[in-house]
Amino acid sequence: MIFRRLIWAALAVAMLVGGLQSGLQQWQTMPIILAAEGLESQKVETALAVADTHAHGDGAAHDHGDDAETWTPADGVERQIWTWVANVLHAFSMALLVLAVMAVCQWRGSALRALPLAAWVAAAGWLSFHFWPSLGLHAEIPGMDAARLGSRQGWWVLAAGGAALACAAVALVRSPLRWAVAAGWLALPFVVGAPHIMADPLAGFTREAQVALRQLGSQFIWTTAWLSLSFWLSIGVLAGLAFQRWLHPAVAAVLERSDAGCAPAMKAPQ
Amino acid sequence: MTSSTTTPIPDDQRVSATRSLLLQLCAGAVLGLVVLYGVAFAESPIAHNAAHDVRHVTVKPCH
Repeated sequence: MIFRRLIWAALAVAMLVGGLQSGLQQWQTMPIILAAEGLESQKVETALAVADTHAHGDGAAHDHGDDAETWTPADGVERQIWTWVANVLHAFSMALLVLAVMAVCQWRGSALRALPLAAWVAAAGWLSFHFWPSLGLHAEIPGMDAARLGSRQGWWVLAAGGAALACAAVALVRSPLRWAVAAGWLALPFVVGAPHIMADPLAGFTREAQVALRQLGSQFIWTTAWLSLSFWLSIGVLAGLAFQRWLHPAVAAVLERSDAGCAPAMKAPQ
Repeated sequence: MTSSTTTPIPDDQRVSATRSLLLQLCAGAVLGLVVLYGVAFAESPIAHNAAHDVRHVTVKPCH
């Protein structure tokens, strides 16, 4: 059954990528997040911050885990374990999408071998799930004020969906108009515009804390940029290997029994 | 690639094999999106706190 193979292949990729990312984050981004959280305790809540940033959809106030009523993993090992779980689940979700798209490409008769196909799909994943949304909503360290959460999440989905549809148009549509269609989908989220607040996102901090947080913020943008490259590079390589080993033969066997079997099949590397 | 079997496969079985393949791939992709929602977007405070650092690092809107 293809579905079962898809789940196991994605899980194998996710365990490796999630473990690698947890290690890299512990080394590269945790010091920045902890430093920002240390400064966050000095923040003076402004009316804007309370209304726009910390009010969730259900109206509940939220203060980065200091709320005694809500469970929060304790700093140290417990926080590392939950971050590892979240990293594995995040990698699992992306690996499922990459492997499913690769199998669809095989069904449509892609002549690419597993690794080059995985490289193209992972590049599209990086563009859609990291780069395009990040152009409008930069990586943010804890403590910065921002527009309402729901509107930023909506814009993120629009940017990721627009970039994914642009990639699909380039890959699947044969007409020369595909470039115009792709440009339209890429432009759409920026025509709508990413939601931002007019006020300084660090307005609630002292001048010294603002200087330190600006430095941490720009460091965080560059660090998350290279971490996302490492994430998608490892997803590409490992999904390519997993696809070649577990999914390609199973999909080829189904295609052999079906009408689509007449399409040229992807060749597995020797 | 053409089928090398000597017995022809009935048309309804061919169509149903392709449909089943695509449905299973769609199910996998939908599961991926559901897991992504849980890790990166769910507003439940517990989900948020557990995945807090990953949401920041993967540049998802967090607070």
